[in-house]
Amino acid sequence: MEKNKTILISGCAGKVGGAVAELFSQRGWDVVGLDLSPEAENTDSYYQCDMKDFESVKQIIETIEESKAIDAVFHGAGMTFEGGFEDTNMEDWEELLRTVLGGAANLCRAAASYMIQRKQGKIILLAPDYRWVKGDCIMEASAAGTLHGFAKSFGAEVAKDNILVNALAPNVPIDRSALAETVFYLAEQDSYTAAQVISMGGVKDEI
Amino acid sequence: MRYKDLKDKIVFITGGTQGIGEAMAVKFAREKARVIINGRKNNEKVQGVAERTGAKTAMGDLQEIKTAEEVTKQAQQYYGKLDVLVCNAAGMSMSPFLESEEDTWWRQIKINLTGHMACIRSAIPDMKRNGGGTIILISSFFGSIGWTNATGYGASKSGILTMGQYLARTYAEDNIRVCTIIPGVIDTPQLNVDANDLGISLDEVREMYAKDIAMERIARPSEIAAMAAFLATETGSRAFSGRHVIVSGGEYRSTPYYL
Repeated sequence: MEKNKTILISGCAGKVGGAVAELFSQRGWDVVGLDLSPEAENTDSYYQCDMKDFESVKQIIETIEESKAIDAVFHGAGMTFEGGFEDTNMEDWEELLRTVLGGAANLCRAAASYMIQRKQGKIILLAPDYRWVKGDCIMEASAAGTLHGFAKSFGAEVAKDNILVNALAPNVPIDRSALAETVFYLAEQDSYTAAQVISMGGVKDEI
Repeated sequence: MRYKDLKDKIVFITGGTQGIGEAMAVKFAREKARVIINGRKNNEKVQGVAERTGAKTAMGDLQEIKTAEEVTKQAQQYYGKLDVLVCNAAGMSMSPFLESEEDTWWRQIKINLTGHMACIRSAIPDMKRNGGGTIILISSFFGSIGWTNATGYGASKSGILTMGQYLARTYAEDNIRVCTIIPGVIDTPQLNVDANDLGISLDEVREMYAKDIAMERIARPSEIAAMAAFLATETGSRAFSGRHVIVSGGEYRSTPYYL
């Protein structure tokens, strides 16, 4: 019997990460969850983890890789953010940036070396598109935007090793079932989409 | 994996007799969809694809608007409607812009853009009546970023990209979804055009393009067909209507930074 594939999901206790976990679990994948929360649903194994901390991300990935290969990574970690552009406190901004961009970099640094050895892997980064949201989302949009450049540059670096890195940019509010299906397509079916920022519709679509 | 919602869907693929179109016919047939393929002329190759996939045929050259309309109507008649129209047929000829012959240049626009405009116009009233449908457009990265000696082809392929965005917006309320794929370089018979243009062998063309692609290889037609099948599903078409997906093996050296 074919071995189950494994996906590692950051932000697994959140709504988006949770939707991705649920779909992959239903489709027979092993789901490994990471989040700051004490627990998350639809996971086969779960680690409480601060994405900003490279050493703990690295250790968790080493532990997972001792028993199974990570086939795909979905980085959905973010944080709720109070306040708009003008009254942002810089510590909050640093925290947001280090979770979204730093978390992506930590996951990629730790997971990609294993994927490169196997010449196979999928990394999907959540980078929502806030353009249509009423109200001030400048800081969230800026943090998500960093992943566009990261996915393209890191994606271009590792594509030759058959590691396909893409950023998914859904309109906010996110259509979570469509997002989860798209992550599933990229993780399981796709073999030639790499180093892209993929724009997709949200719940109430604006074309 | 099988997509449950592609079973029994009626899928018409222009240029479905070779290359990406043939791979799509195979993929959709595997998903248990009912496939109709179009090509310019009926021959053994076409019959072979039809036999392997169980596809019906609606033959004719799309550069004639009347023919494009007729083949679309014929495709509709097989099963009484169309659920998915894939605009994939393409004509390509390469030459420096200043040396391009007008007829050859315009032929590409006629097939790639105007012909498909005619197919879409024939399909939409029927899709409206049937509560919706999905149109998948095959553009090209020659169209999105431009390419030497491919001005006519590039213009036609960027035209179809923009047309898709407007169609999606216009027909959203009729539940007609329009998604575009921008493929990179694919290992299809069309590569012969490039080889002839450059005066090198087919293998040399493959290698030349592979060097400029992040994945360091060109695509198999089935890799574009996989994306087309996903975009034809209920969820895929909902998420990507009015949008495009670049299936290119990663960035090209020539890609502008902002794309």
